[in-house]
Amino acid sequence: MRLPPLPFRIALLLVLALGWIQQSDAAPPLVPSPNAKFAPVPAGPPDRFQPDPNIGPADPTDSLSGVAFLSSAKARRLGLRPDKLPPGPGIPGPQPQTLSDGSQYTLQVTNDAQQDTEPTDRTLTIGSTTYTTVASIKYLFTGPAPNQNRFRNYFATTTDFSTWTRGELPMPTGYTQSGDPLMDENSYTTGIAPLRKYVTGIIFQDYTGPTVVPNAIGVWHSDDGGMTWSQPTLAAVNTDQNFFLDKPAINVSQWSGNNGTVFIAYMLVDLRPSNPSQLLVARSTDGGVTFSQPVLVTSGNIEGPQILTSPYGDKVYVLWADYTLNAIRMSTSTSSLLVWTAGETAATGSLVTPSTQYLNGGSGVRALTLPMARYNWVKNCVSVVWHEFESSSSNQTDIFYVAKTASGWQTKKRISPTTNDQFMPGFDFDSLGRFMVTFYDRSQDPNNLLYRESWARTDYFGNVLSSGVLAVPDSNPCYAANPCQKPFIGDYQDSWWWNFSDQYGNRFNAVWTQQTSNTTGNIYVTGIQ
Amino acid sequence: MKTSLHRPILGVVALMLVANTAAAQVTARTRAPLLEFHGVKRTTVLAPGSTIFYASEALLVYRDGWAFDSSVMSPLPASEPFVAHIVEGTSPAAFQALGEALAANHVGIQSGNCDIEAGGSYEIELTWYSRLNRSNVLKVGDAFRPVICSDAVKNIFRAVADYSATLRPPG
Repeated sequence: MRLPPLPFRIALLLVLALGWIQQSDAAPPLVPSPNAKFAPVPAGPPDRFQPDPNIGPADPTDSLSGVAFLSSAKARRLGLRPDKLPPGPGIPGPQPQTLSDGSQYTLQVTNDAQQDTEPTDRTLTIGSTTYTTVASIKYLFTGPAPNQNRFRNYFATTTDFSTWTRGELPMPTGYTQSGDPLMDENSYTTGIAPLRKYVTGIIFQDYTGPTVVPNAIGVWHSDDGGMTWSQPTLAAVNTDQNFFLDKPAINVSQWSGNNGTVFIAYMLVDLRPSNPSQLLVARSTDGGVTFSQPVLVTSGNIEGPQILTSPYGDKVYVLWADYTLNAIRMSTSTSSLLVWTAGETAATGSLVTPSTQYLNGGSGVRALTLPMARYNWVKNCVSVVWHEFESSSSNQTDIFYVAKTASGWQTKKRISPTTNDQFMPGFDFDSLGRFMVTFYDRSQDPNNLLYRESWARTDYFGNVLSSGVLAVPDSNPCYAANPCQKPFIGDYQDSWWWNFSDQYGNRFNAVWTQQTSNTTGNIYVTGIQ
Repeated sequence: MKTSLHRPILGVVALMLVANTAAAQVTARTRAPLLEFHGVKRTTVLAPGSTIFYASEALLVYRDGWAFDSSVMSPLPASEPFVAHIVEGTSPAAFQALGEALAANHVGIQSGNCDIEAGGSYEIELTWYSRLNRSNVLKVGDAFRPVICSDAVKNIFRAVADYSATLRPPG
């Protein structure tokens, strides 16, 4: 989720400035970069307002690392939270009201006969037009034997959730496949490469010979809201058969000191017997055209990096799953990326590791524990969701959440049902700092095979406020593999909250895959407030 | 008719003689061993699909600096026949670094049965030989999780990996 729009920030600044005058012992405000064309949300006064009983207690974690700011409750009390726009004229497509399953709509994003998996999405507004883009993997049957089954990253962009512009993300010469898309954007009209959307992903050759080389980390960008896309920048290239570049994550800084800087984190998987995999990071200060040399964050039996930045200062966070420690871990640095703190444990549990990566006791869908993370700027906390086994002796998985607040890492919370498997959560937060977590859910199927998309709204401590299961047809992951052994439906799903001006209002758009036949799976988007 | 039947048999006998001659072409040498290394790893690459990479390496290093390394790498299931990549020779600078690392980390008194966090599913056995008649065997692998190896043991395997890498340049 992006920071509030400029008028909101200006109003916030005024109020904070008043507070600053009244509170001489307040923390100093952040100093905007000389190049910044807008002020960041600054450090403000401590929370000395009396709590409004109709709103609830003031947040105990309004400050972190010396930075204070208005809680969302306070903002709402002061009238700073933007009002929802009234319903607009009707457009073709979903109904504006909330459906019985708690969502506003579920729409088909892809509509081909191929298998589409692993979706990610972002929305931004250019002028008066709001563009939502979904990127995902398409499973093609186009190549020559023995690699006739190829994977490619595709995109679909809409301005009205009725018509979509679709296409393949361009492939560079010398590569035949791509995958693992994840998106982010500079949603501001300021900073480096304003209003630019990005997709990162892996790009690789067919599986010939001893390994897959060359392979690369690619970064595509779009300056028209996602209607057309650039050739990818190859942020990292590997030609050594002993390695494979894997699972990139991307974050675009919202901090005024380097707004628009693109950070990526990815794995350099070492295939040799005694060598650990390495987690590397790099950055781009020219809008993804070039990237810095990679910097090693950590190594080990690890996967699934996530990279975040704080909008309140020069801080970069990298998180990952450590399968030896059975832990979600995090390390921090500045935007120089040069020095990283020792890894800290966010939570421990019974992760789904490479040794146990297929559910249903070993023959089911591939679903490693891979964390998804957000910097919740409303609540000033780092938040993570993932799935793991219910216990070390269980072969069923649940969804968990943990956050690092001003008082450190909180106790992890289970946020899903415990019946059967729930896996691959995606999430984002709204202007109140509440999370919407969506995930695949098998609690409806006594055979623990068919899944639906479920959701859970939580506060930033992971307390579930409401939840539901979408009224959509069951998906059978076994459609992704014939015979049904170790099927692949992607490794994650995604969600993004945006301040819309259409009749559905501000909402999350969660993207997920539905498997509908032996060869067909499509990406769906669910709008939910 | 008789003649035509005998000709193939004679051909087979001749081939067998040639084959036997080839099998006898071996060289025997005596060297003092420094270490024997054998490791196997299966790594899940999270590219689309379900891809597991198999890697096996056998490395013999002798006290005079000579080394023999054989490695096999392939995705599973393999789409092509397995191929072993074989390297034999010396790398003096790398050999010196290896020797120093083994000494600094007291390879002769370390114990294994632990996880060096190599990732994936792996199993490695390393045998070190002293100048005289002592030896030490270190077994590491994911089967020993959650027992994590000491830094010294990790350093020993890292040194062997670095040495192996110098024998097999990237590509």
